[in-house]
Amino acid sequence: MREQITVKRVEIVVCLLFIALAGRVIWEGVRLGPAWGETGPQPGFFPFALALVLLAGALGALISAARQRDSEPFFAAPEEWIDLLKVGIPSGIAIGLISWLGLYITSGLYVAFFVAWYGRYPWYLWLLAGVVVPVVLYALLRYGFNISMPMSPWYRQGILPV
Amino acid sequence: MEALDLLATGFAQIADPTRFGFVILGVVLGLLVGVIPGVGGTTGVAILLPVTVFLEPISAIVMLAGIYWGAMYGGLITSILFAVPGNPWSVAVMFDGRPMAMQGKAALAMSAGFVVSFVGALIAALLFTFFALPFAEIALSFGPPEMFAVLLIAFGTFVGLGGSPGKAAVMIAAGFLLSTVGFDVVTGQPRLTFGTITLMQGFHFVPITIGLFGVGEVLFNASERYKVKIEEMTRAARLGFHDVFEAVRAMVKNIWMIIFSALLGFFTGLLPGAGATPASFMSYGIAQKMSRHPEKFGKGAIEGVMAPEAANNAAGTGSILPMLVLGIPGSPTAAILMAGIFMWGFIPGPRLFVDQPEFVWGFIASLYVANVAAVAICLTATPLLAMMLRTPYALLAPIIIILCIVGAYAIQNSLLDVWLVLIFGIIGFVLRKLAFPLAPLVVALVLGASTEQALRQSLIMSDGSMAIFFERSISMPLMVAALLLFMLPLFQRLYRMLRPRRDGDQAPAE
Repeated sequence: MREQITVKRVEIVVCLLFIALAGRVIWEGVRLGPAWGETGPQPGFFPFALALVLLAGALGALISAARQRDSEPFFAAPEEWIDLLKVGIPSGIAIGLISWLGLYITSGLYVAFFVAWYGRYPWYLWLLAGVVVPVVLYALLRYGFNISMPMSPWYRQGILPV
Repeated sequence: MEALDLLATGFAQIADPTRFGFVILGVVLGLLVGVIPGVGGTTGVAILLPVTVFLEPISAIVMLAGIYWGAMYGGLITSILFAVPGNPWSVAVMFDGRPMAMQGKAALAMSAGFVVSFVGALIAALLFTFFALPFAEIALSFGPPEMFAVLLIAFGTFVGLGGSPGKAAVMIAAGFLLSTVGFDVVTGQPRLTFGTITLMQGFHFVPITIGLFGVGEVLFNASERYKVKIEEMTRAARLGFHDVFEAVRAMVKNIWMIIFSALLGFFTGLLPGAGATPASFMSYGIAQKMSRHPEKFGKGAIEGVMAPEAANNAAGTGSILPMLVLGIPGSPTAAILMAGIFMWGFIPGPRLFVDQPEFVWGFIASLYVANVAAVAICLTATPLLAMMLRTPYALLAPIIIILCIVGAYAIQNSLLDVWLVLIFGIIGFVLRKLAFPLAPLVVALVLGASTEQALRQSLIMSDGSMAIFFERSISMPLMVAALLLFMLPLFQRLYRMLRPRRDGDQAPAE
């Protein structure tokens, strides 16, 4: 499976995505008017011209990617994608949780979980990390810089301070 | 000596204890950021940019710039001790820094690196001081056509001097397209919003940069982590007076090589497409060629540490000059600083020298202060900094991610920006893996609006004729130079095709 995903193939897919994007933008440019009007370019001219540059660049990159003979796997070792997912998935979930639980609760849970699960540290350490990080953040952002952050639904109900 | 008088006023600005404190704070943060694997100087500056909105402009810029300088010094520690280059421009230092560390001379290699970084940065700061004003005076005479031509040169360097012209073109176009989303600057018509209201506000530069550099770097480093072995190298981080003395002696012996490397670095740094990375490789190569014993290079020659360090620190300083004088950033970090200057209510460019001399010269004075602080901290506190590397990754990774989220959200209190960080983090990871250059994208994103404005204003001046760029005495040569840069890869290809081939089996350039 890992050997199937080569740098060459990923590169080709990325270039095709860029070409698709260019196509979509060219369409939009045509809709807005890609031409040269009385006083210079019409609104669609810039997107249109840029999409052409994008298209040309992506085609060039596609051709040089397709010409590559040797294609090493995208992930040189199985550890690469395992570690990537181990870090990436919790981060993605944390980012998703913020809109619901707010920054401080999410960051406490996220740090505690990561220290416990990825770092395999004893319970008192992950508990400590999960409390200290949001508290320091709160002190810094609330009192230091006075920046407001997303809060939890319980904050709006007046049950919790964050 | 007008420049010296102005520099003196700059120092007077920095002498204010709060601002001085922010310079030092920036340098310390930068050193930490540079040492921690997984966050480069660019990320550090991007994450802290939103916070600086709440500071006064001089404190804000000196702190952010301090992070940049600090990170350049901090990166040296990781490159030499752990062979983990925090930044691409630290790679050349490893060629000889790593062997020196293996031979038990890590302390000497680091001392040499620090001392030389300081000298390189100092030379660049002096050049900066004396070049800034004349450059700004020339730039003041620029109208929109000249500005547009200079902007084209900036993008031409990415295409002509970067690795793969196709990939650079893709990144430039993508950056520009992202910047055009929203309302048309002239007609006010919504563009590229695809009928959605969310896209009408356009893309803010900060979440995209934090995503590409911050989260992208975390993901990239996560996947490379299995290679890193943090050995008991932290013990070697103790610098004695003996090492510093030895390093200074080696530096004095090679002073011309160092001055040359710094000059090379500074002038390469001025070009957006070139910057610190090629400067460090070039000066390494030249130092090897000029050396009396080139065979020692790669096996722990101290010159091999000194040349690239002098060059990349000078290039870092050089990359700020076109940003300040022309509003054209020479590196992604310079692009973020420029976005900051906009946010603090100023417009980068020659007018800044006339309207805000305290700001400009306060910043230039901070170059000197920050580098003195950085070298002093490095020479005394490297063991402490190296201890940062022992911070468990399990704690570090989520903290970096959280800081990225905070930075992105703080800029305009939008949860959409938080999602952008994640999306661009993944995009950044894939592009980094495939060797797409990220710098052109960031620079184009920041420069999108001003490039379009320069072009449109020129065209209004000429009633829509492109000929205006070739009719004016300053814009014409600039325009020709820009076009040549864009076509450079084409010439190279032609040259390669016409040159008689020695062996039929030639590896493709990519």
